[in-house]
This record gives sequence, C-alpha cells and structure tokens, in this order.
Amino acid sequence: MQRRSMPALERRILRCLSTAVLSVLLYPLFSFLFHESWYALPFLPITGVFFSFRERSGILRGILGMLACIPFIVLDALTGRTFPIGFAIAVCLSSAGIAWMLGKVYGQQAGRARDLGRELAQVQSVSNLSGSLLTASAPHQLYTLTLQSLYSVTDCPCVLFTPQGETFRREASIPEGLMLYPADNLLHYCANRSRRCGRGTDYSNSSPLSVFPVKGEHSLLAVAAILTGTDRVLEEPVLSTIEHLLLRTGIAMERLTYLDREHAILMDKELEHMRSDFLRSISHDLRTPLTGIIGACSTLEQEGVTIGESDRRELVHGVHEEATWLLRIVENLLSVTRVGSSGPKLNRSEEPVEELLAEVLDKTRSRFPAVDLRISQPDRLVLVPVDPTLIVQVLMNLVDNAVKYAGSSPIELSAVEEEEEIRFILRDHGPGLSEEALANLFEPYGHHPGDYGHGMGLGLSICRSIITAHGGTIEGENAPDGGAVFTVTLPKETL
Amino acid sequence: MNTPRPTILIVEDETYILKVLKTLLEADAYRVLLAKNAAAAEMAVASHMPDLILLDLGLPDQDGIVFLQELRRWSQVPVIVVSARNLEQDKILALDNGADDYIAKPFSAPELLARIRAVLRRRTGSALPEDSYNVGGFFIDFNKRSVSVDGQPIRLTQVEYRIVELIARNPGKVLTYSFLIHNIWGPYADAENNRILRVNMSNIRRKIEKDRMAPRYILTEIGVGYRMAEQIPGDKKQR
Repeated sequence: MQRRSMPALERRILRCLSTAVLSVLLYPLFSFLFHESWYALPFLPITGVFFSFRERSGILRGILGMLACIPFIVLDALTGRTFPIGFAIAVCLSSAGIAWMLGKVYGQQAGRARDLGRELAQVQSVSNLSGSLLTASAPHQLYTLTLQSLYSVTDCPCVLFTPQGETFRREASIPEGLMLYPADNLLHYCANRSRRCGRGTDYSNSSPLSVFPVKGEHSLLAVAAILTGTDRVLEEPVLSTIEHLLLRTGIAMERLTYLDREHAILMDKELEHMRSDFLRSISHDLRTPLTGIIGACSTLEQEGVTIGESDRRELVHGVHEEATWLLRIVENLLSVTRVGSSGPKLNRSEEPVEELLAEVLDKTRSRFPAVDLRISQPDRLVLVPVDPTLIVQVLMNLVDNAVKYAGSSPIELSAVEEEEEIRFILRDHGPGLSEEALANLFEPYGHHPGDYGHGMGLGLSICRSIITAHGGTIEGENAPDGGAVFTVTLPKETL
Repeated sequence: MNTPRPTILIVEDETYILKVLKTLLEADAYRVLLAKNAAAAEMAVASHMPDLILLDLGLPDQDGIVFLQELRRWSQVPVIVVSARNLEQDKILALDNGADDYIAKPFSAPELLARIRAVLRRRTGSALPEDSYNVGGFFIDFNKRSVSVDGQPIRLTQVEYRIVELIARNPGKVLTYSFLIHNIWGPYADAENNRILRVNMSNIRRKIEKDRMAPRYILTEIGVGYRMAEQIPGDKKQR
C-alpha cells in the first residue's frame, strides 16, 4: 500500500494522456462512420472507459476524451456544419458519468481481487512455512525460516528471542546485524502474559516494536519482535497471518524438542547397551591372560617342586606375553573412556598421513618382527585432522587382527586420498571372515571368543567407536580372492 | 665405565614398582636413592645431588608437574618422567616444563636403561655448544649452516634448516610441536603453524631420509613432537 506513491501518480497521468491521444486518433474513424462528427462524440469517453480499465479515475479520462473533441467541434463549426452543442455536451457529460461509474465499479473489483491475491499469498506463505518447518532439523534453521516468512508478510525487520530463565537470548534476525534498542520490558510482558504487545496494542503503543509470543503446548517457546516503526500499525489480515505463522513455528519447535529428547534417550540406551556388552567382554578378556599369569606365578612359587631351567624360562616368558596382552587391552579401554560417554574428547590436530603410517609400521616391526607389512600411500603429503594416538591404535588393532588370522603372510596397508576423505585399507591374505563374523564384526561380544584366543571383538568395537567419534566409518569384508579387508574412512574436514 | 657410578633418585610412591626399579638399576651398576613423595625427593635432591631423577607424576603430596616446575627453578638435574598417564597432553606438559625425557608405564627394562643412558650421555656431553652433530650418515654443521647425508650435501630452505638445526642441537630429546613452533615462528605463532611445521617436516624427510616410512634421523613421537636420533639402530646394538 505504501509502496506506490510517487511513480503511481506519474503512471496515472501517462495513462490518461495515452487515452486522450487514442481518442483523438479514433475520432476521424468515428466521424467517417457516422458522417456527422458529433454523433461520434459519446464514443470518445467510452473509449476512455475501455482504456481506463485498470483505473478508478475513469472520470478523468472521460473529461479528457471530451476535451479532445473540442478541436474537431471547432473544425466542424469552421467548415460551416451546424450541430446542437447543448445536446453534445449533455451526451458527453452523461457518458463521462457512465465511464466514471464503470471505472469505479471496476476499481473496486480490482481492489478486491488484489486483496484476495494478497491473502492468498499470505496463506501460501503460511503453508509454505509449515511445510519447510516440518523438515527443519535444527532450531536455528527454524528461526530463520520463521523470520523469512514474517519478513515477507510484513516487509519489516524482525527478530526472534528465546527465553533463557529470566532473560532472553536473541536467536536470529532479519536483516542479520539488525540493531535494536533493548526492549526487555516488552519481551517480559509478552512472555508473562503470552499475548501481543507493543505497537498497535494497549501496552506500550508508542514503541516501534510489535511483539508476538510463540506458544508451545505448555509454555512460551519464543518471542518474535517486528520492527514496524512508529508510523505503521499492523492490521488485519496481516495480524492473523502472523499469528498463524507463529502458531506453526511453535508446533515445529515443540516437535524439535521432542525429537531431541527421543534421540537422547536412544543414545543413552545405546550407550548403556554398549557399556554392559563391554563389561562382559572385558571381564572375559582380562580373565584369560590373568589366569595364565597367576597360574605361572603360583607354579614358580611352589615350594619343594623343582622346575627345570627351560620350563622356568618358558613360564616367565608366558607371564611376560600375557601381561603385554593385558596392557593392550587396558590401552584400548583408556581410549574408550576418551571417546566415551561425555562426548568425544578427541585431541585432534592436522596429522600427516605418512607419519601415521610410519608409526604403524614401526610398531608392527617391533611387535611382530616376522610380519611383512607393506605400505602404500599417496605421493603428495596429505594432512588429516585426527587424534593421532587413537588412529594409530585403530590401525594397530586391525594389524593385530590380520596377524592373528593370516599369520605371516604379507599384510597390505594402503592410504587412498579421495576428494573429501582419506581411506585406510588393510588387507590380509588369510582365510577371510566367516559369515557369522561379518554379521556382527564390530559388536563387543559378537564373536565366539574361543575361536580367537584373545577376544578380538573388543578391539574392533573400540575401533568403531574411535572412528565414529572422528565422523568416519569402518567396514570389514572379504576380498574376492580371499583374505579380509578392513576399510577405515576419515573425513578430511572436521565438521 | 671408569667414571664413578652415577646416582639415580627414584621418586615413586608404589612400593612394589620402587623395588623393581631399584633392583633393575642396581643390577645395571647405578647408585640408587629412593623417595616416596615430593618432600622427600626435594630433600634428597638438595642433599645428595643425584645425576638423574626418575620422577613419577602421580605423587601423594604434590602434582609431579608442579614438583618439576619448582625443581627447575634451582636445579638443572636431568629428569626422566615416568607416568601411568599415557596421554600426549601429559607428555607434552612434562616436556614443556623441563623434563628431559618421558617414559610411559609400563615400560620394559631395556627401554628404561637405554633412556637413562641417553639422558646421562647428553648431560655430560653438552657442556660446550657443539659446532656440529652427526649420527649415522647425517651431518649438520651449525657454523656453515649446512646439512649432508652420506656425504651428499642437502639443500634445505631457510625454515627447513632452522627446524633441523633446532632438533639436531637437542639430540635424543623430544621437542614438542609447540616448542618447535614457538622457537621458529615466534611466541605468537598459532595452530596454523602446526600445519606448516608438519608440511616442512614432510619435505625435510623427503630430502634427508632414504625411506620416509622408516625415518632414521628425525623420529616422530606421535602426537607429541620430533626427536633427533642419537644412534641409528643398525649401527650399534645398544637398544
């Protein structure tokens, strides 16, 4: 409404002028058709009406059309033809009146159509909003969508606040860096009574802000402030559109909170599940080597029993081996507490892939001197944002695994750089993974512990939690020509 | 060894570990002093002037790091930190607070003895600033600012040379990433420099190492920093 001020006037004048010109151009045609020029006169304003279709100022055109006739009347008078001026004027006036009336009626119709169009647009924006609100996955997305709709409905800058205890936090605004005078009293009023206030209401009518509550089922979820300025008051149907919009926003916000809560419950459940699985497998995994150690020690401690030198040495060596194995379990456990319950506490830095692989190679050579680990990697330096100790641990778990299955056949570890990720592929040439093992490879207690000597499932499940915490994936499968293949994929950018 | 037996102070509160360490070190001909807490350790350092301290970080009366910081105000005695806290941050913290080396529990006997020997050797050797350093085929001349491997001169950029020099001036000692960054790019260098450091190191290795997957001269302490090799494993069977 406000938008068309100056240019509209110019447009109107232009259109009137064009009508007049057309009238003049058509006059000779009419006078030719009717032989007597004055018969044509009434048609002039009617042409005017035609061209004034979109305008309310039909009367203006009628008059202009009439004025345009004057030169021709004068021409007629000069050429000596007689004609009843009074009648002509009466006809002119009446047709001007008709033109004006028609114009008026049309104008009303057009106005109504325009209002309808606007309402339709608003209804559409509400339904568009509710559609996109339902797909919004983050609160901030929701706020932005709401504000965009508010802005398109009101043409005014707007801000969204959420209550944070006694104060309000500004969540988003359009335009983004909008400066606002503090209006806490308005926000509090609106929040406490859950009703509109500010400009256009009985509370703080002089404020440039119009403040609307966003209600949830039980509580107030947010407050939307629209900066109308002091020269404008929001009226129907805009007001009801806004209310509709905010109603949808409220519903969508509630939906998000429910989803969050549900997600948290699921996570807790999963975590709980993981923990109990974990404890079960740990107690198994710890017990086995401890049995060996305690057995060996008590044998050595036994009095009165003579043990041969080589037997004694073997027992001590066994204790050493088992203790080393225990240590590895404990290291794995420590990593789990690091990526465990209270969210991942990764100590990330940009690590060169070549350093990670070199570390794995070094560790493998000292742990399994007989094993042939072949490494291939990109020529160029690739940095990947990871917790280096944990990633090396994952790769070492996979190497341990491969050595256990494939014995001394060569193991291949390769790093492949993709557009957005790094893939580490570890492949052995052993018997490969059984159907059963494939089904629950990364479950803490998914395996038959007996088959693997020391529980391998624990190591793999830890690998998975470490890799998941990095935002990556880990998969195990069999190579077409035999042997197990484990693929670890890590994103190159941290999210 | 014709020098008098070096004295090692073990600061450790676990009696059993203390006993194991004592047996191990005495068997290797060191004189051993024992302290079960920070207060006793401080007294022992002041009165006996040990040649080396094995410091456990988990002490009953004081945080090991705080003990280290206070010790460093008045004594430069070499310290090897022994700790069950096997996190990189703890290693970094200990190294940046003046520890000469760090060994995580549990460790094997030969590993510990090798570390002790290395630190003691470093201490006796580094009385004078060196003009050069060489290990295996690697040779760096600090005066001429030149580096060569197996007699072949290596062309390093300015920054690469400074990194290599800094590491080579502290052979055997782990230099943490932040120590390197601050000494090369200044105290206000930020994390972005970590990237630059790692990229430079990759380039250095391509120039000086035969196999960058098995570096021999500049070693990586994963998650902590870099260390100049003191001996090339193949050269002498000492580790």
